[in-house]
Amino acid sequence: MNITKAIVSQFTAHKGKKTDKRLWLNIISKFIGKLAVSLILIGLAYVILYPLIFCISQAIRLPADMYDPRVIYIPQHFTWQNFKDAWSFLEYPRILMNTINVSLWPTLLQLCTCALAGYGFARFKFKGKGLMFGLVILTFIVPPQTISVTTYTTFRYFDPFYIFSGLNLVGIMPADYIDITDTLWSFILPALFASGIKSGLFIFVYRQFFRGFPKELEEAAYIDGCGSFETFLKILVPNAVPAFVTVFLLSLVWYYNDYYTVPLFLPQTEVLSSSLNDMFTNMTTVGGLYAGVDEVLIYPIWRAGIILYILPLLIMFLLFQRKFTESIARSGIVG
Amino acid sequence: MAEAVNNDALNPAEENSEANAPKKVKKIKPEKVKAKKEKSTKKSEPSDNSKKKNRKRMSYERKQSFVGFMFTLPWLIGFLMFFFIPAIKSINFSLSDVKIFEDYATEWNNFQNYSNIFKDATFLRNLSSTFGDLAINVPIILVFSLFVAVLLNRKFIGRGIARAVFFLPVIVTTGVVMTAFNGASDTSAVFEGDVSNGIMFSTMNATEVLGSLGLGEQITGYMIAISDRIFDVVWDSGIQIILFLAALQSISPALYEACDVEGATAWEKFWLITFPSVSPIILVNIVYTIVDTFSDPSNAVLSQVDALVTTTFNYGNAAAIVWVYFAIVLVIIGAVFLVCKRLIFYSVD
Repeated sequence: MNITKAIVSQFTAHKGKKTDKRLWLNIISKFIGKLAVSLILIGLAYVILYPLIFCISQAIRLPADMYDPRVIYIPQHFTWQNFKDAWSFLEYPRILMNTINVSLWPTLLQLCTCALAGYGFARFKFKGKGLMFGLVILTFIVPPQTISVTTYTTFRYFDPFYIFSGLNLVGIMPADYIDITDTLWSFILPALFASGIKSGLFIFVYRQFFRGFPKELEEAAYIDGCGSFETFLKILVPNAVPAFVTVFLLSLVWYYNDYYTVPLFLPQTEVLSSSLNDMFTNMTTVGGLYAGVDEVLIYPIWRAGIILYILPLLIMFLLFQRKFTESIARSGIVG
Repeated sequence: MAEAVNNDALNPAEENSEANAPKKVKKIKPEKVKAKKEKSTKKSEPSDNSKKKNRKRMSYERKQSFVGFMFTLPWLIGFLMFFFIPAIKSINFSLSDVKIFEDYATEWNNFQNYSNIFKDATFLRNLSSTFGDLAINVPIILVFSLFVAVLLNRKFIGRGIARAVFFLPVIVTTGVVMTAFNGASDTSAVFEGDVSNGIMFSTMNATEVLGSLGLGEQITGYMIAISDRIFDVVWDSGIQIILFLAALQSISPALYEACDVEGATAWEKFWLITFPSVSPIILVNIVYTIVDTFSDPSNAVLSQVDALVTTTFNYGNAAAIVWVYFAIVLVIIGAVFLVCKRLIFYSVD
C-alpha cells in the first residue's frame, strides 16, 4: 500500500512539475510575442507621429532656438507667436472658409448621388449595366490629369449637350456658353452628377455595401406599397450609415487635401492646400513678408502653418475616429 | 417616348404592390393616381391614356430594369459631361496642334505629338523612374499593410489608439503636407553642423553611427535606403491597412476555432485561413496602390505633363503623353488582373 502510494505521489508530483513547466513556457512565449508586437506597433506609430511631433516642437519655439544645438524637441523658449504669424500670413479664417466651401458642398452632394448610382448598380438588372459599371471603374483608373485640361475647357465654355447653343439660337441666351470656371459650380456640378473627385471609388463602395444588404427588407417595403425610391430612402439609407460615414470622411478629406484641381478650376479662390503649398516660397520671395530673412528662422512659422492646416482634419478625425473605424469594418467594402 | 417612361417611373410602387400584394393596392391607388394625374396634366394631357395602357403592359422585370437605369442616370449624365466629352476632346488634342486664342482650335497633325514623345528622352526617363518606384513600392506596401492589419486585428490594450494612429495617414496624407514634411531635407545642403535642426529626416547621423560601428559603406547605404523608404511606405498604406482590417474582421471566428480544435499552429492558421480569406482584397489593394501611385501629381511623368501645360502651353504634347501613360497603366492593371484571378479564393457566396 505504502509503496503504491509513494509511487503514485511521485508520479503525480512529477506530472505536476511538468505541467507547471509547460505553463510557464506558454506564459513566457506569449509574453515575448506580445512584447514583440507592441514594440513593432510602437515603432511604426512613432514613424507616423514623428513628423507631427517634429512640426509641433518647431512651431512652439522662438526662432532663436533654431540655432541652439541643445534644443532638439523641447524648446528653451516657448511661444505662440509662430501660430499668430502663420495665422495672419495665411489669412487663416477667410481661407479656411473658402476651403470648407470648396470641400463640404461637393462632398455632401457626392455622398447622395454616388449612393443612388451605387444602389442602381447593386440591385437592378438593366441593359448595359456591366458596361456602365466598367466605365465607373474606368473613371477611377484614368488619372485625373488625363482630362484635366479638356475638363477646364468644358467648364470655360460650358455648354451641356449643346443646350445653351440651342437657347442662344432661340434667343433666350446671350451666348453659346457660360464660363463657370472660378465659380463654385465647377465643383458642385460634377459632384451633383456623381463625377467628383474619386466618385468611381465611392460608387464602388456603395455598390458593395448595398449588395450585401438583405433583400428581404426591400421586398417587405415593396409589399407595403413603397416605391423604389421611397424604399431606398426609408429602408436602405437609415441602414447604410457605415457606408455613408466612410464615404463622407474620405470624400471630405480628398477634397480638402486636393491641391491640383482647385488651382485649375478656381484660380481666384485661395484654399488652404494650395496656399500652404506656396507658403514657403511666398514667404521668402523678393517682396514677400519675410524676404531676406534667414530660412532657418522661417521654418517655425511654416511648421505652424502646417499644424493649422492639419488641425481641422485632425479634430474631425478625433471626433469621428471610433465611428470611422467601425464603419469601415462594417461598410462591406470587402463584401 | 421619354415622357411615357417618365410617367411610369413616378409610381413603380403600384406595379410592385400589384405583383406582390393585391389586397393593399386599393388603399394606395387613389392617392397615387391623383399624384400621377397632377403630374401628367403639367405635361401632355392627350397622350396620357395611351401611355397608361402601355404601362400596364410593362412587365415587372422591365419596370425594375427601368427604375435601376433611373438610379444610375445622374451618374451617366455626369459621366458623359465631365468624363466622356473631355476624354474625347483630350484624344483630339493629342492628335493635333492646339492653338489658343479667344477660343481654341485644333489642327490634325499626323500623330506628330505621339512620335514626338518617343523621341523625348526625359519622358522615357521619367516613365522608367515612375515604374521603378511602382515595382518596388507595390509589393512592400501590400506585405506591410497586411502585416499591420493582422497585428491591429489582435486584441490588446490600447488597440483603439493604435488604430487611430495608423489611420492618421488616410486623413493627413496629401502631397502638400508630405512635401512640407520632406521639403526641409531638400535644402539640407544649406545647413551645416549645429543648425541641422531645420532638417526633419537627417540620415547623416545614422550614417555616422553605423559607420562607427564598423559596418561597410554598402551595408550602411542599404540600411539607410530602407529606413528612408519606411517612411513613405507607412504613410502610403493607410487605405490598404483599412481594407485589409475590414477583410480580416469579416472572417468567421468559427474557422479559427475549428483550427484550434485540430491543433493548427498560428503559422498554419495564417496561410490556410487568413490569407485565402483576404485574397480578394489583395487584388483591390494592388489596383488601388497602382492607381494611387500613377495619379499622384508629384510623380515624375505627371510633373512633366504639368510643366508642359503650365509653362510651355504645349497641350497637344501633354495630352499625348498622358494617353500613352494611361495605356501603359491599363496594360499593367490588366496583367495584374489576369495573374490575380487565378490566385484569388472566393468564398461560396
